[in-house]
Amino acid sequence: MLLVLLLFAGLQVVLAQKTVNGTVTGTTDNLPLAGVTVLVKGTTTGNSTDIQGKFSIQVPNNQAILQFSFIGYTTQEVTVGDQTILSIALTESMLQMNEVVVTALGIKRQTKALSYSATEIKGDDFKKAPDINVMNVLQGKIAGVDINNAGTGAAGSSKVTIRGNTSISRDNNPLYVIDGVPIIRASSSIGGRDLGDALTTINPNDIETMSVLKGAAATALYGSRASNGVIIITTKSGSKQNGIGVSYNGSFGIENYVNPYKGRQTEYGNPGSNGDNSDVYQTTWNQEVHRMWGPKYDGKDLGIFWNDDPTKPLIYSYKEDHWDAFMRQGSTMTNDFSFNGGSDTQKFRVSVSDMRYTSPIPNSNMNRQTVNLSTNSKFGKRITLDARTSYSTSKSKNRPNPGRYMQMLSLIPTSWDINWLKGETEKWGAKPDGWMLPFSTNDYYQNPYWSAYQDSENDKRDRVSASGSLKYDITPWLFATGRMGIETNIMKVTNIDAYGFLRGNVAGTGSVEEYTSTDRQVNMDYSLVFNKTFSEINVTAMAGGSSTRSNYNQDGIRGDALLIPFYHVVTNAGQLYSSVGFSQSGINSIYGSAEVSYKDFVYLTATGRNDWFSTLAPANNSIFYPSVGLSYVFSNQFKLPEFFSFGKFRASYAEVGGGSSSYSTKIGYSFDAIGYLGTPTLSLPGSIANPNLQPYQTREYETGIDLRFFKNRIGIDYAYYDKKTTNDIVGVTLPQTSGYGSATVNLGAISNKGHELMLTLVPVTGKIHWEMNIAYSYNKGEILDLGGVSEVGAGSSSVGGGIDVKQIVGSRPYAIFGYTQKVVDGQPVWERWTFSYNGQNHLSWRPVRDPQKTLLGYGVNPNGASFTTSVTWKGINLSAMIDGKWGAKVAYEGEQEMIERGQSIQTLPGRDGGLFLQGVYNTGTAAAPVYTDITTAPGYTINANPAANLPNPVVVAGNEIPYHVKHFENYYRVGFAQRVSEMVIFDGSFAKFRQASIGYTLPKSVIKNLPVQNVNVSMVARNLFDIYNKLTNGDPATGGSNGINSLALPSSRSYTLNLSINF
Amino acid sequence: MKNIKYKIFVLVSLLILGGYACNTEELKILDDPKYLLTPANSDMSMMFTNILINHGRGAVGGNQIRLEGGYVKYYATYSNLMQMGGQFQFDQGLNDSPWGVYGGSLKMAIALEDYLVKLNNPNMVNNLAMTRIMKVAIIQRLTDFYGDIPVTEAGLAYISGNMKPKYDKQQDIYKYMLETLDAEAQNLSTAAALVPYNWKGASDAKSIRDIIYAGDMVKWKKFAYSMMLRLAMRSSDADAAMAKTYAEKAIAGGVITANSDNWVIKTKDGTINGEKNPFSSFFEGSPSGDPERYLKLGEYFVDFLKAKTDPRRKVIFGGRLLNTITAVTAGDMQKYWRDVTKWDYDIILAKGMIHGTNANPAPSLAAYHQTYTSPNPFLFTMDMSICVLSAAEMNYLIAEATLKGWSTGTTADLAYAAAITASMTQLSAFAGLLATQKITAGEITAYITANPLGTGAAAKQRLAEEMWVSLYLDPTEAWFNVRRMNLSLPTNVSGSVMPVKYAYVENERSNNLVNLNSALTQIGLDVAVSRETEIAKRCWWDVN
Repeated sequence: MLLVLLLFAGLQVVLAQKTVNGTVTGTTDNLPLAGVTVLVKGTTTGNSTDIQGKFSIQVPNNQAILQFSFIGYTTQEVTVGDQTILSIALTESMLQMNEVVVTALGIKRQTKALSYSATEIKGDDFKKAPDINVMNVLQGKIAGVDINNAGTGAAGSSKVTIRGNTSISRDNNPLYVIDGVPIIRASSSIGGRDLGDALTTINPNDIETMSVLKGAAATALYGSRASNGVIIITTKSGSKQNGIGVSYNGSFGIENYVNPYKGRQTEYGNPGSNGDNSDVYQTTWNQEVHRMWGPKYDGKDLGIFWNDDPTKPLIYSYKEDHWDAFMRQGSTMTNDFSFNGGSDTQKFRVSVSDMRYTSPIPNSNMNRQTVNLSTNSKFGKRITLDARTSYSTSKSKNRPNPGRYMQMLSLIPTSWDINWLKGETEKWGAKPDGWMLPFSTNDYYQNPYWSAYQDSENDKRDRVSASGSLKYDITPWLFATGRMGIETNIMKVTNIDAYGFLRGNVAGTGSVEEYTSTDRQVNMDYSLVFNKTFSEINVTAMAGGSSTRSNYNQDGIRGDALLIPFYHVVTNAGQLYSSVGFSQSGINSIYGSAEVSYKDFVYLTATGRNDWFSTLAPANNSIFYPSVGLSYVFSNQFKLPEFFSFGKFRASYAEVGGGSSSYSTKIGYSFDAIGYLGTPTLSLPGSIANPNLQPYQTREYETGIDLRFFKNRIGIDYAYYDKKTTNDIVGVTLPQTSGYGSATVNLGAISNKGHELMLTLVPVTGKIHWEMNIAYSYNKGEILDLGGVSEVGAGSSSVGGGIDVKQIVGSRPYAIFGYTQKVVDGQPVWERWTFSYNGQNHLSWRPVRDPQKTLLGYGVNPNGASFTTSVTWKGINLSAMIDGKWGAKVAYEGEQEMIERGQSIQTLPGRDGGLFLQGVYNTGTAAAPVYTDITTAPGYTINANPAANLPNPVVVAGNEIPYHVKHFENYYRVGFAQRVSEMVIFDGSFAKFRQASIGYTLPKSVIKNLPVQNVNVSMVARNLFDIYNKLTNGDPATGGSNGINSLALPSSRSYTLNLSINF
Repeated sequence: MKNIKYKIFVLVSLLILGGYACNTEELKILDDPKYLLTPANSDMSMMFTNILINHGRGAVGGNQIRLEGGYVKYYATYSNLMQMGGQFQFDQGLNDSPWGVYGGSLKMAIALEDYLVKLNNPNMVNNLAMTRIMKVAIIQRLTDFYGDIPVTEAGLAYISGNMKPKYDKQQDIYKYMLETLDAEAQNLSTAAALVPYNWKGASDAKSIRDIIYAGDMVKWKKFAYSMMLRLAMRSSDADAAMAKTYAEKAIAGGVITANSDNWVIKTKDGTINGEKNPFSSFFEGSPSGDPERYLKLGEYFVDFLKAKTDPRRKVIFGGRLLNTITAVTAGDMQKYWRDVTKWDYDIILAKGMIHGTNANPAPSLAAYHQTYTSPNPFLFTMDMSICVLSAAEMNYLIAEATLKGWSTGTTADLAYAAAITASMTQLSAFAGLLATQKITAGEITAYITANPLGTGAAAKQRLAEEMWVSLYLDPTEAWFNVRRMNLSLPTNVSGSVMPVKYAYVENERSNNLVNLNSALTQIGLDVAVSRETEIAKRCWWDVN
């Protein structure tokens, strides 16, 4: 509405009688504020301040009242009187009543009129705590918004979930809209490498605001693409000023991975050549060398060399942690200039930026350059043209393959120096003959230096987006606007499986793949907006339509079996394969909305939208989304006690929904032209298409209150929502016997109900401003119906003898099932078992496994909270944030790797002095069990007699071997890790000291002799340390939020120094 | 003037908006994918080729050598990683792998059958018959591994929407397979018009898609009757009456009795792993391969062949490493593998590796290779063809049926002699063999004379032993026959006995638990049965 009002300003015939000039500054730092709206109260005459905070406005008379409003500041009113020069100081406030947020379709609305929860993050937040990855800035800030980083750094993608999983298997990421145009946020991966997404191509310094629309009522106008919430990004635009305003932002940061292997045991090494604990080290490699089940490290010189190399003597001791030795310090450097200026009718902003990122993973980096141009022109009195173009080019080298590093760095013997694996100086990870330097007889293990330096995935990504919008003021109360946006993402990928890794492509002869993918999206929308006030009733109505066309093409060529060794060019291939990929889809929509407000305290909104999808059969492809909402600002209607500053009640109902991905309704065969011995072959796909797919629907009720006390010193914003998705489009896992691995079906219903609370406290304000913010959210997900079946598979892992993640009717999503040790009357049950080793049978103990898998927990954290505090004094700003999530369990595959190899501290108990089992064992029969205290059993201990350090297995009384490493290996590895889940299932909760920052704005007195307007330096530290993390060797905050953490890289810790100067 | 402009604007706007709503035609065009292959625009005969490839190549490989090769004592090693079968150990991965045909060859056979049935083209009776015969061949191997399995409801997820197939009893599966073979053997027509095996009518596709018999319907008919004889004899202990009916029907119809009619799929040496012989790839190992992982011939097998002075020793026995090589390290074995200067190929001094140990019985790794005989590397060349059903097996089965007094039109002794001849000629026909490793006609005759079939129980024992030796290149079928014919093989050092079933797979436990549990109950096992107990459970035809 404000937008509308501003537009009208141009239409009035102004009979100016007096000109008032002035400057607007902020009270906390005395710095000029640019873009402050200056309005003559009761009229539509207005202007805004330039970059130096200066304004000029014509007022009708001395009685005129000027209103100064700015996002984040308390609005001030000043009666002009006989003054002609005004000096205005605005007070900063997080709790401004006249805040305006960008809502659906780019419509700016006053916060108080909203019937739903919407949160805006200002560009300032990006400046205060900069991060090259846009989404990291949002982390922990907004109740109900969950950001899960893959741990793959600046070049990697983030998974964002708003108000729980709307679908049990679709991508639950929100829709991103930049300057009114939805963007393609295709994230992809190749061979386990995260290729990032479109958000990694955006320069955070170009962002003016980011609005997070959480509920369906907020997003209903976006229809199908918004059932997971919408994040609206508005980029900066030019402002009127004298000359050109130039600003510079530069930052330098360092980044390190937080070593995930904090639970690596350092006491015991690999066993001797017989696999026992004799101190004869392996002279020839075998599988045993990777298993740390040997005797205690004693620093003995074994008199032999690693790989027969005399410079690499094997000293039986723990070497530097492989993670720390392998990873390096990463860094980020960004330089960013922006220029802006303009007159009343022509405004522009240009920004250029350069970012250089070096990942903590060796030989991995990314460079990004962006150019942005935005112009805003007024032609005559009625036409406004807004045009934006953005070009971003990024080049990434060797995007990390998390699983490979996480596995390899957990299985290299800890008695080795990982530097030994570097191999040739000129070619890391290789032997003199150029082939990979193996560190195991297992051909599948890849040398991590080979992974980092020889195998590679390089990509160049160009993202161009341009949009233009035209606004035509038909009458003072009606305008029409049309917009078109085109976005193209071109990615050129070169993927090299280096020649020389035996288990690589075609017996180690390498493979080079080159492909180019083009993702194009054209959005058009058109609307008519009506706004008129009839005495105390204001009506705003809008009708419009839009169309979206998406198109994807991929052309690739892969060359296998390279002819000239180590020459990684696709034309050097013995065998060439070409591939093409293609998809296109479209959505047509019409929509309308109406908002009626009465006397500034009741706002009633209704919207409707209809979408037609190309991806569904014509009979099923139409869906209508209505929404209604009420905002009641009771503090504007009644006289409340003095301390009660503001009170609002809101309620809304909305329906959204959507179609499926392209061609889900058709089954396609795959064709192999090369086939077998020259005969081409045809095969069936692994998953089933569904010609009868229906759109899915989500409906949501939301209600909330917004209360502020003591002049906004205390603020409470509470929301409750009840969201239900029906006819969900789901990919279900099928048994192999059905012939197919998965099927796409409309299946059942899922519900999410939750509470969101944002609490703001300002204990001190004035010269010192101290503020605290608490955001808490609780989301209860429940699977309501699965179309007649009681459960569907949602993932599995082989850890702990087999973990299944399922969606079960009546339960929270992502229920984790696994095998557990049988318990009788609170006592763990053990059984005697025989394992065969070296041709002899050994007796040992292992847990009795419950025959059926039991429910171990749920994979999604229902609770999330953050606490932020900040203090501002003069030009100094200090802030800190902790955040956390709790209530989930996770099956951690990395721990299985660590237990398999005896590397986890979990495998330590008993190794020194014996393991005395507690519990019971069955002395009866299987049919009629009699449980007896295990301590009455003969030989109920494992490794009771460490003194009997037998070099070779010797059978003593009762076939018991007093001390044999195989007992521990079998007890922990075979008995536990491979059979029951106890050691690999963890509490998935975490709390992190997420961020601390300090900023300093140089006072005027210092810079007054410099040719600058303002200088700000800040320093931010992210992910300083874990406050709560129960994973022995991993990070629950990264890698999947569906119950299985499959070897994700941990969070990285970074320190960034930022300098920003306005000239 | 102002008013008119405004009205035009509104009018145009409404027209544009209205346009969106009815423009569904364009949406339809958008959903028309460029590259999607459907039965309508593809050549479904290529799917038949794929079924043949998957079935043929699925018959042998590292898994079969490691499990069944160890079960039936062909191979032994002390390497923990390689001797799952020799140790009678359970390994989930190896155990689950044959089940994969549900998403591979079996699914394709079911889809193709459905396509052809719906097409209902009288000119494609042969295509349908061949598809169904292959479907039976795939199911036979699967049920003989696992026992009761889903058949009637399997692979139907796309066709009928059945996503959780129930398990059929093996008895019913056998009945279905025999009836199908009976019907389809009769449906196969040699009529000239029906012989072309092509879907799209292209003349060059005449027989190329049939990479086994090149469109020769006479041979397909023989294969159908041969499968019938195999199935009949396999069920002979469980249902003698049914077995007799079908065995006689099969023999009367004509089974494969000459090696030229064997169901054989070619492989090719070269750069494409998927075209090389998977059996040979396993034996050849890798350039950095651990020397202890190279399998040896098993002691019992070697001693058995030596005791009979079986001429097949020449083909089956490889060498023992020369004493002059005192150390072997990673990668050496692959280099030495086919190097005749490194080995002593003396078949008299040949020695088999003891079974079921995981300690090197020799003092060193080099001594291990010097002491124990390797499989013959010249038999396992990368272009060695894979035989799924042979004349030797059929002749043994005819001999067995004759001994039972069933009508076969020949004598047991004649069939027995023909079987041995077929087995020996088939083995020595491999191109990679050294000249000295070929078996002569004289040696074959001498062997038959020295080892007559005999009568009664001795004859049965002789047939079981011969079948076992002859199926050396197909350890899986060898294991099926050892189970059925009750050939007694030694237990291993720890006293454990040979598994007689594969356990049901983990995938079913995760995704089809209800039906899996009823299958377990149906065969008399508790749903919570351990895998180790399950693999000792005999299937329907394995009467004792």
